[in-house]
Amino acid sequence: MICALDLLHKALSTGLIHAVKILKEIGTSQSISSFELEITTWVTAYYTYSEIENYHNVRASESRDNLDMLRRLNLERSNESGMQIVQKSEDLIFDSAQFVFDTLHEEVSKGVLIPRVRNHLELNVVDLQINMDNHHDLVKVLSMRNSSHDCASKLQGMHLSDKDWLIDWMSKRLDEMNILKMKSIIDAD
Amino acid sequence: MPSFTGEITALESPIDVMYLMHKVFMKHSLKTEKLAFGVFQGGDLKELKIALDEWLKHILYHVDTEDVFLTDPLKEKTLPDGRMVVKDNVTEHDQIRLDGRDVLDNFSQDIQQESVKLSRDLILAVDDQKHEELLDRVEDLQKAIDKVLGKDGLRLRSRRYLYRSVLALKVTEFDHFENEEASVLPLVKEQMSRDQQLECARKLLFQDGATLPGWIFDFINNGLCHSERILLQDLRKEIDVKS
Repeated sequence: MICALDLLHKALSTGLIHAVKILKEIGTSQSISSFELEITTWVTAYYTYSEIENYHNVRASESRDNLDMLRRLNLERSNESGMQIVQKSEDLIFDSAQFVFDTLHEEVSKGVLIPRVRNHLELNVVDLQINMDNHHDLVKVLSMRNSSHDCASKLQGMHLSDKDWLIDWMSKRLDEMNILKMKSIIDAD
Repeated sequence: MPSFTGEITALESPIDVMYLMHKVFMKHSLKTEKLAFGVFQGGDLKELKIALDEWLKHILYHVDTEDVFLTDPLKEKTLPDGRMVVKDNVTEHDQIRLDGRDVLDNFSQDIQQESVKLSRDLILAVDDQKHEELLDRVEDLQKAIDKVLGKDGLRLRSRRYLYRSVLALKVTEFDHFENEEASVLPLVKEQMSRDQQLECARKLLFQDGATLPGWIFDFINNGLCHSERILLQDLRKEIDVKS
């Protein structure tokens, strides 16, 4: 079973690396609007991640021991403690995304990006990436007992227009091997 | 007046040596940041370690020396927006030390410590009752984390924190250099004589009592273009005459 959430996370991660690349090229081959657009579309794609993360599941073969361990701890994605943890982690992602937009709107005037602000924006984006990566780790740790769902079918079940947009967005941010994996999920529709 | 980036064509005062120093430090920081990004992407740690050691050795000597020979003798000046030149400079030096320590801590963080850190974050995120329960079973939690994320996952976590800390140090350092050039250097020129500035430049470029006192001078010299080296060497001649 291919994990749709892992693929989406890879695309989200690459999206932010791409955003930093755009940031470094503002003033030469890129503009501030391209950077803002990259972050805005990133947030839209993150909403899809957030939607399908509830359906994430790990392969039974690799999860049996962990499943027992998490059961003993009564700590899982679907119970109160798990939800609390995931909510806090998600808040961090939104806060750091907001921070990027705040810096952009408060510090960048008349389309001019000074080096000092560029550096701060880069750090903001890296913080966003770290919070996203940490969140993905958490979801994986807490999803051990989520055995009745899977994230791939949730992705397949998305509304067609949303799915087309997401596929296009992901295709531009994944390598060839991962694009093939994504296609195999979508084609199973 | 020399600019923050670009070729430096003249040193109007001995303390303008700071422009040359900052330029070389910034070049090295950018190189180190690239190496840290490479490590974050799965690259080798060895080259990063060498670059980091060199960066920290220089920047820490630089701020320590500035505290004593540059900032300390200055009389405070409050800027129209309320910022205090000397006090802020000292605070920025402290922030550089803190960020430097953070880089070192992240560099020495092993995957086991990463798993402990994640368990701690998980425990802190839950309510009091569950918090107590998990504290009693923290080993089980760590085992679960180790199994789910594996060595590779934990290694990735530690490398992204390392990259983040290197980037944070760069941002603090660059902001500091810019502030210093804009506010502190004019104050030095107002308050210090040419001889005092020469002595300060000497302290910044040569470490008294070190086996190789010129280790800073050599590093700066090697990082400059031909015309900038001439400026530095002319300043050295002036320092040698005065010493």
